[in-house]
Amino acid sequence: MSETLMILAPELILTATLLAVLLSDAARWRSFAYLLALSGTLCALLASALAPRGTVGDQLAIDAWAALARPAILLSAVLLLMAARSLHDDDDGPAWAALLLALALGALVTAASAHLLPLWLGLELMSLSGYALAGWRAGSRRSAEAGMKYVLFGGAASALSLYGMSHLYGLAGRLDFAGIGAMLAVDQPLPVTAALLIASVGLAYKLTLVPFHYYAPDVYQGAPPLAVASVGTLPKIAAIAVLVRALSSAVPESLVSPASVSGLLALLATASLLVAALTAVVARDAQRIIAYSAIAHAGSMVLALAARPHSSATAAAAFYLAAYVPATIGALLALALLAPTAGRTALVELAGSGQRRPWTGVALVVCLASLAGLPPLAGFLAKWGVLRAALEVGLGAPERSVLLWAAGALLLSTAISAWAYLLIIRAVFFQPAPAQQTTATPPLPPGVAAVLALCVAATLALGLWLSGFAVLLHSLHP
Amino acid sequence: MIGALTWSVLAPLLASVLCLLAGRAARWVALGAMLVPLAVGSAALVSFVRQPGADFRLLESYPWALGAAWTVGVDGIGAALLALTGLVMSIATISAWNEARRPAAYHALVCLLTAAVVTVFTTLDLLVFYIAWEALLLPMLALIGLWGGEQRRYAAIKFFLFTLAGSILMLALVIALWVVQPEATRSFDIRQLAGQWRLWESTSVLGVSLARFGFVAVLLAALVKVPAVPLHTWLPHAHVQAPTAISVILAGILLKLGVYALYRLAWPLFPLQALVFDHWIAVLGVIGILWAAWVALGQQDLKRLVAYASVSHMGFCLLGLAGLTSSGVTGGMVQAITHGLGSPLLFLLVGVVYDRAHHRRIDGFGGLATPMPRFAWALLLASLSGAGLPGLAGFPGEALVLFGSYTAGGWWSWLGALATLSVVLSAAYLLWMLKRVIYGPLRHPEQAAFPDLDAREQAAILPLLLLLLLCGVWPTPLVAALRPACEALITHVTGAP
Repeated sequence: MSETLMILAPELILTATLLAVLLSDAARWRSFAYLLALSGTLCALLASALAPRGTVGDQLAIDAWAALARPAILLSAVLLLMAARSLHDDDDGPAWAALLLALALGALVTAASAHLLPLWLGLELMSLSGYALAGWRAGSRRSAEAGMKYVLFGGAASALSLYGMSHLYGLAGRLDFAGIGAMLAVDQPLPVTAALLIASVGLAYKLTLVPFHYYAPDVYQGAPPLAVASVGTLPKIAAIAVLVRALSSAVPESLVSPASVSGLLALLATASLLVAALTAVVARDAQRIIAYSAIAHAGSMVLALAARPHSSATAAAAFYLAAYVPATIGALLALALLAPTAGRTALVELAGSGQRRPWTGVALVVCLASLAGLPPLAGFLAKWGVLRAALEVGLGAPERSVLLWAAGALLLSTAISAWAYLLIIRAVFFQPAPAQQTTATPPLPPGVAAVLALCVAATLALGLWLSGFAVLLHSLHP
Repeated sequence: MIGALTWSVLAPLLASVLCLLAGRAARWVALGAMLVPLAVGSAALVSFVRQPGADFRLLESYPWALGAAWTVGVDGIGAALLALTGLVMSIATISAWNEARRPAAYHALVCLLTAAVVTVFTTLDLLVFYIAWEALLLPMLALIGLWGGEQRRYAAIKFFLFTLAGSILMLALVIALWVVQPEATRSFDIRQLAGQWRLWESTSVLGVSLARFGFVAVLLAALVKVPAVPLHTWLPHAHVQAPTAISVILAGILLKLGVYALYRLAWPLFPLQALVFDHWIAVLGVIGILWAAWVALGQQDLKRLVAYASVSHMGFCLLGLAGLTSSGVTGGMVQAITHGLGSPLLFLLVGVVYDRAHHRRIDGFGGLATPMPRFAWALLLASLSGAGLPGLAGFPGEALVLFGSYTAGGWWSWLGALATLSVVLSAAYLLWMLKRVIYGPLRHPEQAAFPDLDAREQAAILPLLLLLLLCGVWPTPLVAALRPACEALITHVTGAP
């Protein structure tokens, strides 16, 4: 019993923090809400680094992936809380902090789940808090639209997912991933495959994979930047972590040929990469472009997983997340600081904003260049890892040459989407600011500046510290 | 102990940080940093002049990760290009000495660019090569896009997208070459990769041999940078919109990257493919030589004229490399170096008149020799060198390439004959430009008050002018330093079948 408590310490600490934050609202200690949330999340982060690995029944598994994903989720939550604390006023504190903590808690549960029940619980926890975050700005029609679209499409995806899960339960009589995998061995491959596919819609939705991506552009465009940074990063880490576990235990290589799984994943990846790149170039809003970037990057991560069971595949996905998360948070924070009117990130509104805040502009350029995969930044190494895994498998086995085509799609997508990122850089730096804008620029809030600096530092460091990839590989495949 | 070549990269890299802190003194920091690659490159070049050889010198190797290693070393060509980089970057820094718009950021970016370029010219590791090759795009984008002329946004983005798209396949190549090697001996060392070329020939990627895919990937990346017609259209825009110092860097250094990638990667790694494609590359080279010269004839803008002249002259590098004769390849590389002296000089001189007249229309000048005699002399010598007049630096490279084509015989002589036509064309557009700009009576009276070259301009122009004369009158040392490496390459390629 006590061992279970040790394993789940981060989740328990976070839950306690969430309750405390909610109470702080009731007790009118609003100004302490962020401090409370931050210190709780930091404790959980510490606990996640120290907590032992192990399983909790057949429901949760803290394996190598979860052991990486938990600190990553909590670290991102700390950054997002720090940024929120200095961007928001105290009145918003308890509610925003509580929603963010709930999102992080959902991500932790999802990332560790080895069973359909906690998976469903985690996904719903992430969805519900995400809906509220996206529709945060009361009175803003676009924020309301974003929240509404998120709810409607998210609800449909959840319903589909639940439908698939109920079929899986009906067929297998079990809800744990291993049990589903064991049943695949016995009989009924076709209904099981169909049920698995339907059940995974919820994950694909969280990952913004084509064809479950269509909500992302509108939601990302309308939601507040910090909400986008939250729903764009934490659920991705969780979804990839659980996807890896589900693939290896529910669809074991011994029963399903890797070629068919990787064919399907590569197809999804190719579609996401190409659709995102081709639609991003017509977008004229910076946050919308970030949405397409999220879709494309989800494609890259799934492409890495398509190269399973090769050892470099999962490490490539993990490194990709490590590169994607700080660059996305950094880019969105920089956009929030650069936008002259809060919440308006259309490219025309951003024109010349880099002249007001040159260093924030430089930070934005670094983050976007990393998202575009330019060396020597983290995004380049991430792309490198995915391509290496895909080519290693695709060149090695002729029946998996579909991976080569998908790798080609990744390259093509990189080249095309560079244009979209350039559009943002062009607006921020190369275009003149509108003449009437003479209001003095307020000083940078120190909390946001620190988070932004951390994101840029991580982007640079992960790009230059080439051994990071090897370290990840070792921790996933000791 | 960190060696000289690593310092050539580290010095500009550190300087780029220092520049940001130094404020107005940034230009001194930048100039100091540029002198490091200049000194190291010159010393290496002298060593190759004294003891010619095809070996790599100043070798250093430190293991890195992911299979990459920080392995640097220069052969004769690397040494010459390193020295050229140091020289051109120093001159560009001097020419932007009074840059008023955010000078610290400007010099920091130029230093960053220098570090990336020096890395490309000195590294012997394919992954590091690619990283540096791509890393120089962002500083260049910023330099053109922020410090450029009227249409700088269009020019900067066009430059960026062309070069990025050109090199996108190269990333796939770098990884593919890694994964097809036997796991125990995998390496990114270019020398080791060159020894394994049979492996890529026998590996098939989606029905094409990996060698063919790889050759095309490098070729595409290189031809965009050279630039070869029809991939050259980014260059006139970039040149016209870029500030003078950036045009100098673009013409003097960045165009050489393409030739260098062919020399260092395409030919050694895929020798059989080089033999298959060499005719096409030569034809592309000749088309570039003639087409760009023809287009230069019709230019009204001085800078565009010089830009097209640049494209035309770079065509000789392609023709020489493709011919695979000793004098052809050597001539192509000599041309790369001497063009790196002559073309920046022309851009500097265009910048001089632009600073005074604030326009670059050829018909807006006339008789400038009267108020500006020293300028007129410099422009005359630079133009004559561009026209390939014997005794000036433009001559030996072109002459060697043409000799090479004639000695190869067959239809190569026809290509050579066609390329020779460009001597007439380049004399025509350059002399005609001279006639309209500096000779005759002063056509615009307000230009009588133009001051002649000042001390700073002379400091930038004189070193180039002297080297132009030196390489023209006495090209032997340069040729001797470059030839062994070129001959080793030819032996490697022609010995392949």
